[in-house]
Amino acid sequence: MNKRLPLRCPSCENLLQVKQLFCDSCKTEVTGLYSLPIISQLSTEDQKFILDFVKASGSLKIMAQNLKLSYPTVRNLLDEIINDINNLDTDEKQ
Amino acid sequence: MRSSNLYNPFIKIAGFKSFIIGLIGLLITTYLAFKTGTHFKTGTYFRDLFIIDYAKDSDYWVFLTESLSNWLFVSTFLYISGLILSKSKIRIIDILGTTLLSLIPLIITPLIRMLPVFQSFMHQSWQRDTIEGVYYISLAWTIILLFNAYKISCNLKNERLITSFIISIVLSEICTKLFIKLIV
Repeated sequence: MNKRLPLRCPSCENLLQVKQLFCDSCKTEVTGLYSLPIISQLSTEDQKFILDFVKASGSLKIMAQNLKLSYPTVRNLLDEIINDINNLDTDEKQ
Repeated sequence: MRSSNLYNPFIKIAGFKSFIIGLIGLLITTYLAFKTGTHFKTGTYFRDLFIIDYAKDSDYWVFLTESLSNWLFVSTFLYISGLILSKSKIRIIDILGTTLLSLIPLIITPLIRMLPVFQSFMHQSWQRDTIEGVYYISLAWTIILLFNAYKISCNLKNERLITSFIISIVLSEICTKLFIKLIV
């Protein structure tokens, strides 16, 4: 089963942070307070889009062919992700 | 065919592909309009915007000028609006191609006029009413397609999208009419 990383607190809807990391090999535990990277804060679909975009060497034309969508549709999806990243970036700096 | 493909095919088709399909559609529409004497752009007054007229009194180039000028004025105004309002990097081939493809429903009226029963009729008759009804349905379909073409090609939303679309369409209709009056 693919477990989805929870991003928001189920109680107050605020963004969750990382408190503990664990090495499955040597059982080391690291405890602290870490923010999730911006890319991890995006939706699963947006993360997949970014990975596919990198695999397509950043070519919107190849992305459009792979997704069977038109070029401007793919560009608009990318623009929305850029907008989300900028908003998250602004939130993080505040 | 999924219904969304009928009013928003641009999710899947844009750019050069839509340009080629649209150009073929435009040439066929123009040919049928010429054969049946169906004019889309000859109303004299401002209230005659989007009106249809019938007269086998012109050469083929007049019909071709009507079609081409309509498409080019619509494309130009939508492109300028997109350049001013959109934050995305818009491509002119997307505007030209998707607007051209949007004009395809206009083929329905001259196509129906090819039927023997609609080839000649009196000023007030059920044939004329039927043709006008069909024309306004195909025009509404064309406008929905143009709206979606503009929305996807320029990545605009909400009030910016709606306002700039209405202004661009009205301006392009006025310019097309003035241009045709000037040269024909």
